[in-house]
Amino acid sequence: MQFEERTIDNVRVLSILQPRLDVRSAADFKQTVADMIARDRGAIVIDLGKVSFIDSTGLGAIVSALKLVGRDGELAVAALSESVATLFKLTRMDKVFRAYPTVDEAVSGVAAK
Amino acid sequence: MASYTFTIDSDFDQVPDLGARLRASCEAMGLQSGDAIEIEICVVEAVNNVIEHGLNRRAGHPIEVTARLDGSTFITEVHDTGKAIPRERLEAKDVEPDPDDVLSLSERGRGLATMRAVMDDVSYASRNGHNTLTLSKHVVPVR
Repeated sequence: MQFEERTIDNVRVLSILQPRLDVRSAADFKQTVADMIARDRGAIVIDLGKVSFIDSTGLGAIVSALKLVGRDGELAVAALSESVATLFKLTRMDKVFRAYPTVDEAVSGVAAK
Repeated sequence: MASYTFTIDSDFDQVPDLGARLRASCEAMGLQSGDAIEIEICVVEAVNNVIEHGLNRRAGHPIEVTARLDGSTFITEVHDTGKAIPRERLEAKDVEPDPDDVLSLSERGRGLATMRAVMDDVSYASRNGHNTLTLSKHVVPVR
């Protein structure tokens, strides 16, 4: 799976560069984000701007990332497409994750806390 | 009444295209795009479950998805010949996620709960090795 990792204002941004986060790519994503968190427990934004579809396995991988950072950790998602936002709403994950329309707003959001 | 039938092999690589074609057929039948998106999400879950759990990821087994609009009720069926969904799974209560208890969130098993959140009816029949999942939803067409 293709990712891009960068740091903006001390917040790490992990951008998924493929249009689907699903049963085929979820394990790879889960490992990548787990490695990031193991290296550094600081704030993370998952940029979903290029992702047009996520299935429940992909969502599970994002949930696993949230569980790794824990209650006091900082993790937000950004740039959800309509399909992705719909899945979050249907599964009530919109009540669990902080979601921002853009990466910049997500970076400000996690940095501000 | 327009109806559509899509058949794929039991291969995860074929699921995205199936989802897209199903969504396009919903829009062709006049469904609003929000409904079409929710239906695509449900059918992708259902088909993934067939491949993962019903067939243990074995390729070479056809999965058929039908879609039709009956008045203002949209009905989709997923047909397969894998292992049937166990009754306990079908009857298990959907667990509400607790946003204040991050560690308790489940990472798997949301498929049926998602279908029940979208659909007005979720029913399942397994007869002579043929399984049929039927999902139906009352819709307000665009036109």
